Amino acid sequence: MNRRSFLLALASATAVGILTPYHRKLHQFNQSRQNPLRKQMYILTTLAEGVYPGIQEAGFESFLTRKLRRDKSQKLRNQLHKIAIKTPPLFQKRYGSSIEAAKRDQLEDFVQLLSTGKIDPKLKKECNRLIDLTLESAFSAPYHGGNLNSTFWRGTNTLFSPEWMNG
Amino acid sequence: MGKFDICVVGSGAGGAPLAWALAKRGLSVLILEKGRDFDAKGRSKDELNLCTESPFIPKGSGGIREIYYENQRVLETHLWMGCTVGGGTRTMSGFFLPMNQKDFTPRTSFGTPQGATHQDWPIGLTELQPYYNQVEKYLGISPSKLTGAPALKGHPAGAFLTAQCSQLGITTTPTPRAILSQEREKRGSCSYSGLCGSYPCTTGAKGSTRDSYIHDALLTGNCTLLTGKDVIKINSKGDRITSVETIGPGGLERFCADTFVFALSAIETARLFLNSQSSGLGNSSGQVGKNLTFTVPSEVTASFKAGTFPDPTAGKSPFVQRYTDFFRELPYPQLSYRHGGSVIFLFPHANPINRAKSLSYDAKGQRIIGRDLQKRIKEWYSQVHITTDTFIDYLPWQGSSVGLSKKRDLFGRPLAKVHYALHPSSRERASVVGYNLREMFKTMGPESVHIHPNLFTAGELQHGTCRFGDSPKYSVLNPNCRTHDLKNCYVTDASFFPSGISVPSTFTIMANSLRVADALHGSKEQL
Repeated sequence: MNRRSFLLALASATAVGILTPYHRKLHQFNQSRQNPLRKQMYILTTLAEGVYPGIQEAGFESFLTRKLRRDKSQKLRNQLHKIAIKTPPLFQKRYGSSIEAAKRDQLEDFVQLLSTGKIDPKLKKECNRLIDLTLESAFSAPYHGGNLNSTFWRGTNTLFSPEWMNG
Repeated sequence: MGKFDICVVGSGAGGAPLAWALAKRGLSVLILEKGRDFDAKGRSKDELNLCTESPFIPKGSGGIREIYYENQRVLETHLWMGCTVGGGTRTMSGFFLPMNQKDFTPRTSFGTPQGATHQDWPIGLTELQPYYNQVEKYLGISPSKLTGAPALKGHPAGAFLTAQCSQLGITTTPTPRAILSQEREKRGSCSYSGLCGSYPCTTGAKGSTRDSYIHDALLTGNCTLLTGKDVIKINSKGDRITSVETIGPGGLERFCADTFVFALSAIETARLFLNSQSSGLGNSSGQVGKNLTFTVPSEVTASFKAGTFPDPTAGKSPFVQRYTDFFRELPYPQLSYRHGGSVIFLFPHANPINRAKSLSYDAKGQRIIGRDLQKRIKEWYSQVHITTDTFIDYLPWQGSSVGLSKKRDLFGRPLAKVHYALHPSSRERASVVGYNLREMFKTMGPESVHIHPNLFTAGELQHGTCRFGDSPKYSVLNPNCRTHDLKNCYVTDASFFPSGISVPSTFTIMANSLRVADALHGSKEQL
């Protein structure tokens, strides 16, 4: 290797070393500006199932998609990305299996610990936001997408029938 | 835009009756409203849209405040009543109870606990009664002896409560509400929707100022309503206001008028005055922003086993429709201050999202999730619950005030900095009323009775930051709600209250607004 090639290789390696973290951050930043990807949405829905049983089937994904269409806030998107990206490895580390194959007990335990900040204090806020979103999905009107056929209202002693609400 | 006779800032309970009364007399009136008009139809009964996304809170930095409750920072968008045409009257429950004579003289009648800064009112019931009557006739209160309107239909739970309370010597009566029980002109009658308080009315039965005073003021042809106009500054010269500056979709605008009336809410009016001059507009007394009051909450919820208490879904009406005056003067001589408050019985707030969220926390503030939460929610809805809304005199003191924050909004204006906390006497009286209510419920055979441990006030009813009085040294406004310092500046929201009262304040704010309209016009003729 001559002097010129050596310097070129050194410069390239330095550039890659310096730029890679920035590139990664830029990639993450661009990612966070978008709605959750298909796989990320699946992770969120799985976690929501741990918050309130039956929510996956009742349309949590549809609720979230509609909410993101209405709500343009960057903060919400960042929170969802953070939780969807960071929780699978944490789950894998704790239970030795992937989150996709989680049992209900494991899921409930995991979300409970996340909400108290015992697994990762940095995810506490995001987890509590996800719990709130899940409950909003379950107990909002069916046209918001997350309470298919009024599944969860029917469990409340028919109090929220259209007749009762609108008079 | 030309010069108006009167410029009213705010279209809620304080501004709209005055605007209507003066427009009817031929004066040109301009109403500037910060919020937008909100159609009551469509998704008005949408709990997610209304209670979670709160369309009545100004979006962006306009809705942010620096708020401390008991010196702890709380949600920065707290304490908004309704930033829309009609203000808080759009979503009120409409409990319209008038003040009694002792409410006007709390200092004379009940004394002054240490640290309290309350004052007797410079007016009495005799001055306000004619205006209470005007509101009752015009707006429509049910039941009403004046108009003969019947009470709203009550749920069977009301009759059950009445019977139980009478055994204990507590009298309950039908709650007077600013909701039409019978159709009237262009307003429909009550549809008995389970989602009433906190939600706008779809039939126009609720006496919101948008459907009543504003609507009729616009029909006179003398009134102009401009929405989306956020007043950011008051310009004055000598002892007169010359103009107000607004920001809105049209950019920065300036409006001139002979007289200006401010009715933005106790917090926002104080903020605007403090922002408009270095030492605060009309603030020679140094009282602007001080003496902030609310009402003291004392929520007690009794849970009955299904079948032992009439179920909320059993009757056509979702309203319990009973209240009691029994606690307005507390019969305990050992209390340092015995001014209590009225107690209204009702079913718990119907929003299922908020209910689920509150049930997802345990007593330690930890989240409950999964099947445990599901079980908890199921258990809650398998019982029948009845709760109380209390309106106890909130003593003004140094612990509650409005000032300016160091933080600024998008337009560079300092945010409102609100400190509020209960005076020890207010806390004591809340406990006494709570204890009595708990004992009362216990005699009815519930499964459990729960006193809400947190006295955190909801903040819908806010008063007292520009109090009225005879002395310019101790008050901001004169007895006619005109500022002592400026000759063409009036305040008609609840800022003028010099003390807390023992009833919800909306009825009094509306009646006073009409009284000020009379004083402003210099005429006492009946409207």
